[in-house]
Amino acid sequence: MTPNRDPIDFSHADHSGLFDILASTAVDGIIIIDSDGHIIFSNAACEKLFQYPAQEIAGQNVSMLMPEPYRSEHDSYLDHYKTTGDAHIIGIGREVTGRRKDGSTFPMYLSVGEGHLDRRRVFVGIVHDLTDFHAEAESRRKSDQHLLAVLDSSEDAVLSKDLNGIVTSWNSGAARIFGYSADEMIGSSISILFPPDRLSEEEEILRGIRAGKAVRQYETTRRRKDGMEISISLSVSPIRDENGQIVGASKIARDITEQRRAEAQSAKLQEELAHIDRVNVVSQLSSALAHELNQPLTAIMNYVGAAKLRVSAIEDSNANRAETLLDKTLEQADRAGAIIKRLRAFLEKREADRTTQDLNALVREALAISFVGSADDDVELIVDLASDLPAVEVDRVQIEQVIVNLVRNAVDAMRGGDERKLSISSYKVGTQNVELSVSDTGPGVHGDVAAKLFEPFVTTKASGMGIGLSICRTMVEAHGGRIWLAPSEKGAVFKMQLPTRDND
Amino acid sequence: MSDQNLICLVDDDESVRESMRELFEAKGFRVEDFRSALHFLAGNALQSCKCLIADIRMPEMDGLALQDELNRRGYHFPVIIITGHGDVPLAVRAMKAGAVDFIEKPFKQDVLMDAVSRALAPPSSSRASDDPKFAERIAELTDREREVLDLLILGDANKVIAQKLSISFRTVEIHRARILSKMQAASVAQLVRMVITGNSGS
Repeated sequence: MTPNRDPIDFSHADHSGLFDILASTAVDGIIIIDSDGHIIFSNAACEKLFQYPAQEIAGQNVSMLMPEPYRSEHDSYLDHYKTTGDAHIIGIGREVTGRRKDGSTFPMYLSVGEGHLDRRRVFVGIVHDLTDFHAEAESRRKSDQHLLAVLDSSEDAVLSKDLNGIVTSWNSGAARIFGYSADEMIGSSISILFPPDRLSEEEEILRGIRAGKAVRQYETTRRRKDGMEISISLSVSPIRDENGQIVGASKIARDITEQRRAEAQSAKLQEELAHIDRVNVVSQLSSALAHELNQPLTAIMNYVGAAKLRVSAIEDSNANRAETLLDKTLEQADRAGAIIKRLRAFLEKREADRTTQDLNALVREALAISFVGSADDDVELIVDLASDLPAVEVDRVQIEQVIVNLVRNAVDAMRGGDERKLSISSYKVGTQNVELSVSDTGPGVHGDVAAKLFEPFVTTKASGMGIGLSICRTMVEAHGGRIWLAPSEKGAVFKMQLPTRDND
Repeated sequence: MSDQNLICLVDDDESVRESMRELFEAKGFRVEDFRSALHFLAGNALQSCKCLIADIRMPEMDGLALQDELNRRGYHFPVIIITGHGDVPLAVRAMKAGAVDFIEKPFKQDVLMDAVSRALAPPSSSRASDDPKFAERIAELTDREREVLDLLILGDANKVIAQKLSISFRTVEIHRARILSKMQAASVAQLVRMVITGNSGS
């Protein structure tokens, strides 16, 4: 309204003009009926709503704008009201269904007022089309339903709680993870999920939520309905109402128990492996050392023995003296040999650990150990284990260690290569032996190195000690088996043969 | 010495090979030595060899494989296996493959010479039935000791023997010590050799 115009004075205005403008511009339908239900007036909006031209409905019973059964019963509604004054719609308004000329129906909001015109009782109805509103509500309902379905189908627990920790929603993921149904949890305190020693955690989380702080991927422990404690990763965010007030918290919890168990298992395997390494390195180093010392010691004793034979042929006091000295030398060499034998006997006590084993099972375990925590999962592994393998009588730890060694060597050899294929197979050789073959697609083992491969302290690895294969050989031979580098066109092929348990 | 006594040595360790050669030559034997089984198989010495002494552990072809190859080619001269590893199962395998003896490194020259003398002796004197001492000693064993001995010869570890006979590990150790003492063997290795050759070695 602009100040340079005079305001309209309705007290003196032409009321029929006011009614005309009201009725013709109203977006909602306006219908006036008499006490028998006959239409006295309908405005322009009604033509659109019901698709009847105004003159077609003028004087007709308003029930024609309703579908059955209201259509037939409308007169009795009116009678009922007129005799009892018991209003169901008059003075109130509610959602009803309208009927168009073509018989189709639509939802509408009808409010009805009662008044008198020329001393006759009339009812004024205002009709608001709800078609769009319904469509919107339906689409909202559908999208809510979809959202709920998404939440519900989530593997994770999705739930909400108020600021007192009372659960307000609970999806099926939550039911599965925690074991409580939505019925059991909604309205209950979330604290029943907390192990006693973690109760203070909830206080802390709620304090943070009230201050608007979210918690992301917090790892903690909760207790299932069956009492089992599970590891979960938890994210909690504040929920705000339309005014921005924090009214609760939404929680997403993921069950990471399996993951934790797998990690613990992997750590345990690593630890076992480290232990096997330690124990074996000590005993195998000693064994390799004993073997290597044996060679020069054998040569010394042979040389001295030969020298003694030569000297004894000379009849001379100096020669006699020299012979005595050579005898003393032999005694000392023999003593050194005895020490080595004792050491070896001590190491061979490990034989007592031999049990009946399935070589294939050892291979599988060794593979698990070999690839634990390693970044070598892009190595293509081809495992072909004969199903009819006879049992072997072995020290499980030692033979597994040999296999681990071969597998790791193969993986190391292929590092940086384009093709990284590791094949491991087991099979029978005759009736008395089983063989394991480990081949890789690395650069292979060449000339000089190949000849001395199984000797201690020979390595092609920058960081290697070079005792791996010599230890393997010591261990395999202690089992009456053999280990060797097989000829191959490309890559390296190592083979290990072990006598079967029933070999005789 | 004539070809009658040609001794062939196969060992990849040069010092061991050379020192053994010195020893045999000082004793008056004719010796040829080879640094690998393949070199030996490729040479002429194969035809006139009367006793082969081979290391069990060698690259390319080890002592056991060499034995197999000689058997395959039909050579039956005595083979003495030298091992740095006095392991019973391995020794049993060597003996089964036809070795007449095996010796643990390091060895005293007497041990080596005795083994060679036995290998070169006419076969009749090394038969079990012809060695009364061996038969006598075997007879001294109790039934249970005989059982333990049989399993020892199979190359079974003490623990396995204990399981098979349902007796304790400790009991097996006691039996084993008694067997060694009754058979007058210095080691299980020697015991295995005795039983397999049927010769007391004395």
